[in-house]
Amino acid sequence: MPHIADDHHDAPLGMPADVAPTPPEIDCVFCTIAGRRWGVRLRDVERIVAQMDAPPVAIPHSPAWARGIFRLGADFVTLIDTSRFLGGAVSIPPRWQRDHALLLCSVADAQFGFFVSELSLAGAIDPAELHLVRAAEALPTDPPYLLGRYYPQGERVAQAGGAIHFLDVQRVAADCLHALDGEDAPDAAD
Amino acid sequence: MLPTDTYFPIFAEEMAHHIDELQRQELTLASPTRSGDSLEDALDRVQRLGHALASLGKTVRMTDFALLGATLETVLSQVLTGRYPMPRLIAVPITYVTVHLQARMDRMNAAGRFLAPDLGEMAEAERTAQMIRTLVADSDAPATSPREDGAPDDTPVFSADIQNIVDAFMQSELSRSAMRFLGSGGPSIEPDLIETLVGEFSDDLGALRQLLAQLGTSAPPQPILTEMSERAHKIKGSAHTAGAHIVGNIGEMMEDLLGMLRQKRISVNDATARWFINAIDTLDTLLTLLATTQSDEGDSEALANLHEGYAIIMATISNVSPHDTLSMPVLADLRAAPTTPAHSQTAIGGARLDVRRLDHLLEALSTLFINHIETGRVHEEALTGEREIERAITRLTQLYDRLRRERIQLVQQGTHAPSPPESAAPLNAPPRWGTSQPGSAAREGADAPPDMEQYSEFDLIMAMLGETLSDLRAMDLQLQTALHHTQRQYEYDDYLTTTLQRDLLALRLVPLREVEYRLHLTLRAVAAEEHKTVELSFDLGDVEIDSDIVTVLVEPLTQIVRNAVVHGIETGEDRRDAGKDPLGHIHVRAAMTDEGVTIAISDDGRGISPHKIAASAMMVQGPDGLPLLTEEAARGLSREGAFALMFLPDVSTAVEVRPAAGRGMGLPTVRRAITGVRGTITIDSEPGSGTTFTLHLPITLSTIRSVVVGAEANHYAIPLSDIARTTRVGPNDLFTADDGRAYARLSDLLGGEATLPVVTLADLLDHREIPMRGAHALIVTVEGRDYAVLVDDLGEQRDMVVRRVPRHLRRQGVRGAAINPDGAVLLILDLPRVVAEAIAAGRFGARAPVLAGAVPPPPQGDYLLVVDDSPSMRQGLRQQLQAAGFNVQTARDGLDAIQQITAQLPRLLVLDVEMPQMNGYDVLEVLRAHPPFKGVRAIMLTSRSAARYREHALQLGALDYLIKPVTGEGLVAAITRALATTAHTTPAT
Repeated sequence: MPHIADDHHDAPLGMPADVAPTPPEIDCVFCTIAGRRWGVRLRDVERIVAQMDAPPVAIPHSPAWARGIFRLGADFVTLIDTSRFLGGAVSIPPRWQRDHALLLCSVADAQFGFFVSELSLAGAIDPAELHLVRAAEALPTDPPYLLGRYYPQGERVAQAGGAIHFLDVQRVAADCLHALDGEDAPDAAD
Repeated sequence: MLPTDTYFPIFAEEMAHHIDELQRQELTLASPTRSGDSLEDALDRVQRLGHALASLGKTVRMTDFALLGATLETVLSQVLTGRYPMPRLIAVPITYVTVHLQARMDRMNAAGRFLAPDLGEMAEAERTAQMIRTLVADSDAPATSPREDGAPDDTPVFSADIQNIVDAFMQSELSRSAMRFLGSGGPSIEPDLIETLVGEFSDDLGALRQLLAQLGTSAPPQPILTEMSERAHKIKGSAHTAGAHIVGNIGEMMEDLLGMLRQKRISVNDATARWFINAIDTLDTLLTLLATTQSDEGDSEALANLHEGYAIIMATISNVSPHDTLSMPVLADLRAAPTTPAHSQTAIGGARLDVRRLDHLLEALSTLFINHIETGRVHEEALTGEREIERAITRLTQLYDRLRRERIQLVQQGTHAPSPPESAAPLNAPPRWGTSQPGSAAREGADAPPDMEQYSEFDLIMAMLGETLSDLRAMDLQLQTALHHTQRQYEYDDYLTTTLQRDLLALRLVPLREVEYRLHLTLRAVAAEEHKTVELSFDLGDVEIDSDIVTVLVEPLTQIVRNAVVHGIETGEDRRDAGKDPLGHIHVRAAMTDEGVTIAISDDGRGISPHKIAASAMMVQGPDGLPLLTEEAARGLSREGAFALMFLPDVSTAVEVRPAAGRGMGLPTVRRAITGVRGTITIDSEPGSGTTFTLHLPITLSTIRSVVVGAEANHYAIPLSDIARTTRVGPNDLFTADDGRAYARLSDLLGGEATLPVVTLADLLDHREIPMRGAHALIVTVEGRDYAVLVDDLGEQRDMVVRRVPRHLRRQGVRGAAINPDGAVLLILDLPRVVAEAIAAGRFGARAPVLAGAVPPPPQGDYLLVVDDSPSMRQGLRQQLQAAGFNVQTARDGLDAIQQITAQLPRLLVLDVEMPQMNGYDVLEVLRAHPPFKGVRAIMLTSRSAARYREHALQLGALDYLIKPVTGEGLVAAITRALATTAHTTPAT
């Protein structure tokens, strides 16, 4: 199983593995999407928005998970009902609540705000406890856009099936753009 | 001996006429005309001019005048006899002669008398005469090979001597001054125009390359060829107008070949593709030359090759093979070619600014504007907070007064010590009083006189409350002063940002007068070619327009003027016969309107016959291979319909194809350019009286005057230019026809009735969850047919600063975005495009609109709504209920609650009674009065404990009535009970 640090923190060429720098800890947040608790690496998101300044306006001919466009400072952000995109129920209520938040990601010239609830800062986690899942290794029961599984208490928890799933939010953003740009999103619910 | 100077003014006038006439003929000879007759006519005129000049020169004893005149007369008689094959080359020495004459006349005019030529002038005249003779005598004339149109092939084959002479002439300073003097027709081009030309042509060449590459794909070639023709036409027109005749000549050859390709008289094969690659490359080289040397005199070999290739391709006419295709190497060449040439800059008033910088500035200002809106929002929130504080102070004051009255009562009853002084001691004063319990002081007082400094706990609380109130009032006053100050500051910033935005937008504006020069040049060149005398006048006032629009506008206006001269204005003789002034008139008038700028170009020529247009359209094949107009359709064609046909490719009323016009590509290009800048163009013409082209244009491309339309929660902006008109519509106006489509009967502008296909904006945008009442219909015209789009609200009209949106929005029929004063995004829709796409997809009118009275209820939510005007109460209740597992939302008063409920039905309301704006009873009444909300469950939570309040609430449909304070468990139990109860009326979900 590949290690999460493998993709960004390879040891420099020629350097023995035992003297390679220790991968830094991963800052992440936990949140609820479609009734499931997810982890998201902070480096995968541009910023976390606590609330929208003004309500979004609906986008013509857009799938139901694209809930509209709203202004964030001088930028236009497309609001995504993340739960709906992942195949769950509508999750964005008419009224903003204190534990609601948007995870902001950019792809090309588009900026997306992914709606999540019950957001909490998990702080830094040990990279050894987060294991990437490549497409070929995904189980049929795995949720879509699974980046990896986090075992906070090691293999014992893993065997008990107590992992927290990490969301590949960058891939979600890319597919959102792909779908809105005129083609179907491979894993989109709509 | 020179004649007496008394005759000089007469001589000067006659010479001015001769020089003017020589210029005209030189332009004709130098122009890339294909008409053999006009060339012969020009040569004949120059010969006669030479004769007149020789006679005059002898009369006034001006030997240089006589020499040049005699040379022209003699040589041109040989040329005419032998059908000289290179008439354009003759233009060069004629220019030289003209310049010589003008220079001599300038010297004499300055002196006001006859002056004999000096030695230098005489030597110059002799050299010119020799050059003219050499050009004719030594030319290695090719065999005359008349082309399809009867004109001689003038592909030049020069002897070395002639080439040297021509090269020397082209490089001489005299030549440059000659061209400047002539204003057109030579290697020196107006420097001011070069930058504009290079910018324009770079775009055109990039587009031509891309289009050429597409010819090798499976895409249907006709639209590509049409667009290529339009680009070539534009290059030809602009280049000739500016005096870049070599560029114009190549553009003309391209247009010719593309016309043949469109008519399938020649094939898209390797030879044609190679020719176009070479032509575009040559044009690219010439553009670089233009930008650096201000001349388009380029590689003569490349030019000769192009001429030769052109002739070879033309020779294949009527020998078209259906199997002609492009080979792989050619396809590779087509795709490898660069597509984006460089230069782009725009002139603004007296300065030259890069428009991109201006746009960045506008973008920054737009952000500033947004921040300003944000500041306003925060200010509003602060004001609301201040009002809350004020209300809290009022409540505390009431409490304080109540306590004081209570205390007075107690004192009067003898159960309490006397009141402390009205001005309570400061909070930090030492506790000089005891800690006696209530009642003890009274007991003490009964035995001893009251000690004014001995306060009870009650008095202490009163004093502290008084102090707090006093502090709060002071702070509130301070806050009010600060807010008042920021309010004034905000208003001033508002003024500043608005002014800045307006001024910055104005920076993009340039006077429309900038087009005058180009139009004058066009008129001069075309009128000379057509042998017509035409006067061009302007009434442009101080009209200013976006620099981008002016850049685009030059070519359409030039084309319209060109058409007016070629097709509209009659010859002097014809005008005289028709009882008109022999001098034709073209007038360009511009005016500002509420919507933008209107430009009208009128001529007093022969006008346009709708019948001729119809006849032309019947002979032209459309992309589907069928005639553009059938005989039956032609019979029912209106005047306006006929004029509209003129904007279709290949429709032309021209009897013959001329260099300036007549290929039927001019007006389609004009319309494309005008609509490209959100403008419209109409034609009005009276046969015999003249024609008027009217252009309606926006002032700027950075703002769009739009109307805000509503679709329930969403608002969009629609540019006014996209809406033909608006009208009200009611449920009875809508019906479904036999074809299953929805239609609306709407009153038209003349009081009549029109039946139009109808759709709601929500349906059109695919927002099926948004209910529409459709109180107003926007009438949108697509391909000549009207369609109705229903919207709920028709809001204000205003100029909106357009901001760019991400690509995925632009592909959804969104032109851009503006920011509403409340800070929300306002998408600017491209409604005609959205409607056209819906029609093409068969979605337009597929569903009958849902109008008032049939509005579906809001969706059922899964939340409890706590309604209380006390922030702390709201917060406390939310925490308690969330801890019990409920999804909770809050509202600060009844009105806020209603707004939330109409968006999504709650599971249950926890409702206070006393609230500002709308109390709890009002909320219940409103809900019960509207069927979709009748079933919403509610329990009351209030401090009003009297039974009558409870009964009233229950009568209004409350399921429970709780008195504050209530424990968390008690509240949760009541809610659980209420949720288990069948609602008063089943909620409509």
